[in-house]
Amino acid sequence: MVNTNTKLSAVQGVEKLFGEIYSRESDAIFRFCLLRTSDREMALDFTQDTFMRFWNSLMLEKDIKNHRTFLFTIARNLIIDWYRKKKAFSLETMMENAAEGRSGFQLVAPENVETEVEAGMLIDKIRELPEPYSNAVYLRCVEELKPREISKILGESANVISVRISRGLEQLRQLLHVNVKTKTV
Amino acid sequence: MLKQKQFKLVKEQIRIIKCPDGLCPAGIDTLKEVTLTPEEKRSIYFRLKDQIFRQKLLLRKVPLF
Repeated sequence: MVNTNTKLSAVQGVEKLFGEIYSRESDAIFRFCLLRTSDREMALDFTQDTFMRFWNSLMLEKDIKNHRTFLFTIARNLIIDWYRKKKAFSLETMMENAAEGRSGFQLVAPENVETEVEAGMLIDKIRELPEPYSNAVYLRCVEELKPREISKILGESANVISVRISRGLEQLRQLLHVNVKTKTV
Repeated sequence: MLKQKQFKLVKEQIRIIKCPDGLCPAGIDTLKEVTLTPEEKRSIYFRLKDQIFRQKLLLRKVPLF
């Protein structure tokens, strides 16, 4: 009887923790999935799957040191699996998405045309970055994760990640042909 | 190696990018603000709750001792 009560209170504790983490991290996970897939519905599914796996891990009492990096790792692995399985991605779907404006980044402020063009270009260029750099730049600049946290998600050392971030940003700058000196003055 | 100012500039540029599929609610100015809508958030949460509940039911069928 005591054993059952202990188990029940443990489950309630896990539920509370899960709820807190869900409300805190779900947006970041969704954003990450949306950026990698460019498909809102897919991103919603990936977000759900990520948290379902996270729940299972909590129930299995896995040793999770950093919930945030753990969630990003799950999401990343799910997306990698999806890309591997998705061999026959039809050109028609891509064209439909493009026609409906479902792909490509847009800005809210239409009056700022210059900024809009730059931003649209920038996100395309982030995607064009070779795989080791793209994720590192995104996680550092957008999600503001520390190189140590990114290293856990991507399974590399913190030094390697720092190098990837700086090289990634350098490549990004070269791709954009941004004349930083004239812009920062 | 990028200097701090250059890094900040690229960082700021990244922030002004909006939702990739253009379906996020209006008024979102930065990528950081690309979020789940309250309905999506609730919908996912309740679906998760449902899945978890079903899992628990399955677990109850398995004898604990």
